[in-house]
Amino acid sequence: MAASPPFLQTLANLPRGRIVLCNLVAAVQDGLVPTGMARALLAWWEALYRWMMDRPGGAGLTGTPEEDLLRCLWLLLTQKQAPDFQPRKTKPDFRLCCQHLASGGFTSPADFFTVKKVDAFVSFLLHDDDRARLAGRGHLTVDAVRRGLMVSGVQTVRLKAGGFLAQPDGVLWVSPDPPPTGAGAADRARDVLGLIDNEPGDALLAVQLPGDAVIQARGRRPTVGDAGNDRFRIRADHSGHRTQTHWGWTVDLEALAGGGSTMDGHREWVCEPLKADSVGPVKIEPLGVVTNTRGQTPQDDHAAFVKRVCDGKSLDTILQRVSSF
Amino acid sequence: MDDWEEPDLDEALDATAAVMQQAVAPVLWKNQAEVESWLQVGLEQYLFEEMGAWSFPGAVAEFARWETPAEALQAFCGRLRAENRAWFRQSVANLAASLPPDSRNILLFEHLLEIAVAVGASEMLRVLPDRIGRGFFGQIPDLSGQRRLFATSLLMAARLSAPRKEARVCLETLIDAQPFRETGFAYAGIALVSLCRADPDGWLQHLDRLRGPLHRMFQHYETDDAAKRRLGQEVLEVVTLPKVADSLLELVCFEPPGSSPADDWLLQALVVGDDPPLELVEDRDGVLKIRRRDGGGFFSCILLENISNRGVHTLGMVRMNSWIQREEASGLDAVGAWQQFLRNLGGQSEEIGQFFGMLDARETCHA
Repeated sequence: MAASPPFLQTLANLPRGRIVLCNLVAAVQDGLVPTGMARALLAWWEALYRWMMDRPGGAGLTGTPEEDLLRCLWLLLTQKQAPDFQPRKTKPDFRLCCQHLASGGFTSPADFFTVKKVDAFVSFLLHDDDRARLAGRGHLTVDAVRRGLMVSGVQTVRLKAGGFLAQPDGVLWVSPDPPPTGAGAADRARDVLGLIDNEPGDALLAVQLPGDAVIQARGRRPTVGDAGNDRFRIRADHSGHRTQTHWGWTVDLEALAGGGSTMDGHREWVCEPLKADSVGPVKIEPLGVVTNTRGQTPQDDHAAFVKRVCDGKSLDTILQRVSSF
Repeated sequence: MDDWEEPDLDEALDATAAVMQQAVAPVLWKNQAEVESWLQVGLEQYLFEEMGAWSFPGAVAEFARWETPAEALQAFCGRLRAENRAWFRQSVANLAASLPPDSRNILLFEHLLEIAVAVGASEMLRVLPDRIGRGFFGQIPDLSGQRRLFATSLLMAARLSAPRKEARVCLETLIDAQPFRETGFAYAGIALVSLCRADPDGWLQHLDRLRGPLHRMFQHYETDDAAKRRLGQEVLEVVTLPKVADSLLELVCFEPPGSSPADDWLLQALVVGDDPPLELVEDRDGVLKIRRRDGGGFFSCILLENISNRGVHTLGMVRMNSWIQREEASGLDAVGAWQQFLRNLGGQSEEIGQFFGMLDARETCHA
């Protein structure tokens, strides 16, 4: 059963909901995902939201309606099916559904990059021997971790056995383009990769991953089913980028805030969460600490992004399109 | 044709009304025991039954934004009322104290350590010493596993350290544990800064306790001068300038080669070499001023007459080392710098002259 008109209307009325709808419309129009997937995603989203709101205490949904709706979407896409939610049905896996796969003439990048928070990396991903080595060399004091000064320059480290890059039921976001380095690298990397959720004080580092591992983990262009953040976008601005249909493009937050004609950032893919054991030693490079926020001004808030991502489509047009799924 | 299963939406729905309803308060427990049970069941379901976010009813929504249970529960805790937050923190510690030490629970114990850091459960510092060296540590057959649990415990204690007795006791217990040695004393620097934060007044005792381990850490990991300087600066930050200045010249320094480990590295880090954070200035009134070179106008004064013989020795050696390092920086090798120093001995060098001037002033004071 499809999502109800009131639910779709509610989504369309909320900026963050409209961002998702516009991306769904674009993904279907461009042939990235089948119509049935878009239709099912909306229906499961509504079902989960209704189910959670029926739980005692809203099952922890205590934010604004907009926030709670988006949290439900992320839970739908990144978590297993709750034990007593739709017990007679099996929630589809909406991840890694893009149908525009790299084909003839495609040369796999030798490496991909992903950006992680230093704290979580040290706690959950760094191998103990390397953690001891970095500590012994004075790179791992509490203050050094907080300020993202964990190492000077690129270092090769091992990952902790059993560790996962990304949540086990989510996806890993990667780019073949190296993130910026040098002074202000954390802010620039946050901007060019569209990492709107990184806040001032977050110490970041770049992890370089072997291209083969990403390819083998079903690496492909992301769609709405991969639970992107509030600055995820299906269509690039630059016509040359649009023709490379096997790549997604991040939204450069600085370009968005500056009102530039193109806000394409780096190329991006998603893949299954990589198991540390399958990756081997990786190179890491500290990027420093994020110092400013994005998305808080009229030039780059959700409403501003809606204007860019919806390509001038009216509310009625968007509703008409999603209702026709 | 697409084949995407869809859910049952079999009830009449006014979604607009549903989403606009008032936000509800997070789940509230009736007592501490309920929190402990909630946390233990949640962690077991998350870690062993792979239930993901659904393991933590009431906190499910937080898992949408965060990758780890520690991060999600930190955000969840931030939304609780003060009493519930206190119950939560205490529950983390109680669970860590009472968890049966079987091999299956090691993973759960490690997660409790991470959650303790995330939610600031300093209550954990009281219970951890009783679990070190036995219990979980004894359950891990391989050395690397023991070292991992130890490192996670020490990093937790380091991040929770604050000027409280239980922080000092916890850190000292960890330092005395066997795995501290087995890591090649890798965490000696972190332990020093954390102990100084827990007990700034006792910073010289902490340095005494860790002098040997620091020496071995520097050797084993070839810690470079920049890292030593960062370590020295962190000590300075947590102990504060007045306390450091009071005892700076009493450090065990510039001992002859082959003698016991010394604190040269700290003096080197703070007052010697290129662009050190502190400088020593003697004035003609018999006062030694120790001040930060990054400004701020604050400094600490020591009457030269109060400096012990060891202090005079140390001060002279600091001067000498500074001078020699500057000569080396200007192109002379170590031997050449020493030769130059010896040629200048006798007052030709401004610094050496100052040093002897300071000695004269001290003699005058004593007279």
